[in-house]
Amino acid sequence: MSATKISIRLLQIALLLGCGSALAHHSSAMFDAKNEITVKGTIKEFDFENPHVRIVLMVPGEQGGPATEWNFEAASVRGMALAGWRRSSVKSGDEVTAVGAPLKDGRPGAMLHRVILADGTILKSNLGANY
Amino acid sequence: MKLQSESVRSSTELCEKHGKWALLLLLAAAMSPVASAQDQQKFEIPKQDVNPGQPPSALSRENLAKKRPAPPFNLTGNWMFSPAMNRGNGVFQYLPLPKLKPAAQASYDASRAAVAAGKAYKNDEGECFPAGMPESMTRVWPNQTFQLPTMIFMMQMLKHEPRWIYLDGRPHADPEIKPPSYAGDSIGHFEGDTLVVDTINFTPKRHWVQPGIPAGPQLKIVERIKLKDNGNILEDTFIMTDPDNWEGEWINTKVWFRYESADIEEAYCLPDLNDKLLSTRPESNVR
Repeated sequence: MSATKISIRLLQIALLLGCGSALAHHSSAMFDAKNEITVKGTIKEFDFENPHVRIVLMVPGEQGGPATEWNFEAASVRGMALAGWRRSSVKSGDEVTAVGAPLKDGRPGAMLHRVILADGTILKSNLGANY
Repeated sequence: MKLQSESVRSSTELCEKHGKWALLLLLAAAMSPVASAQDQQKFEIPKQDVNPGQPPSALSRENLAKKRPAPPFNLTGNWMFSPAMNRGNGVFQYLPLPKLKPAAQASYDASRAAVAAGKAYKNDEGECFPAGMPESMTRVWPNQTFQLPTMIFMMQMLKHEPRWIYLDGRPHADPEIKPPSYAGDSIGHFEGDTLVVDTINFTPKRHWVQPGIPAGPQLKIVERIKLKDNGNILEDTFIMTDPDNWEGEWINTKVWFRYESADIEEAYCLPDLNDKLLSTRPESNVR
């Protein structure tokens, strides 16, 4: 796995859900809810569909190395729309920065927290359990 | 040309001579009780076979028209499960747990170990199997609910999982005829301000009460449902028994709020879901 501008910040995220899982139609145990990872890349795929919106980023390797495909899992269409997302918010080829809770096993993927567009606009991901 | 002219002239003369009669005939036909050929078509409605002793449909006109006492409340609406409102009862789990039987305890322990290792355990719902009752009610999408005098129909937005609660006085369906299901067979009646629902005949096939604790074929769920806060809160007390998996009654009360700002939409679990989502891929699950 290689990426540019990867930063891992220790982030205290209040666990609002007790023993539950944020996604809740299936487990989210594979994501590290206490940390965040930030990657910058080019959108390869943007699936604006239920039950989960999904973004795939091609993240360039360090020092010109091969790009890595990063997979971000987000909320439902309804949840994302409530947070301001639209089907046309992003498209293949867009340069964005994605922030999320990384996979615990180190694979290139995360539960999406937010996307920062090239113009600085921040689009959050409502994780479905937003009530 | 001459012949055509003569023909045209003849037709015109005929029309002028007889046209008014033709018009009258047309008007008479339109007003006649004799129907058109299509209207005269009679459909032979198939004889509807009914299993002996089974009640008519909850949607049959006769069943709907029966006089019944007015119910104390109407659940028609969208009911949204709120994790924040259910922190005290385990949220998506039903805490505290009952005393589990050994096999169920081993399964539950394995599920906690998987979570500790950052994985899901036997994530059948993530593989598009139905959540089934009771879990289907606690997804983070609305439960769209319609209440008729004869039944309550509830559909969870995720995977469009249905449940039917029959209010027309019927007994439980004959398990010889109605197969086990994820929603179970639910019948309900009102006791004062409470809807009491009794559900049995569950399928145990990849069906979980909560992660790690299986739903067995002897699972029975009694629910005591009330509306509170001027009809804005649905409170459901689950009283669950399953002698194969735990001892005694497993009791837990959860709440939903009335969601009126939007309608539900399509949300299938498609066969390629596991390949697309990180959380449902094989490497994220323990089997």
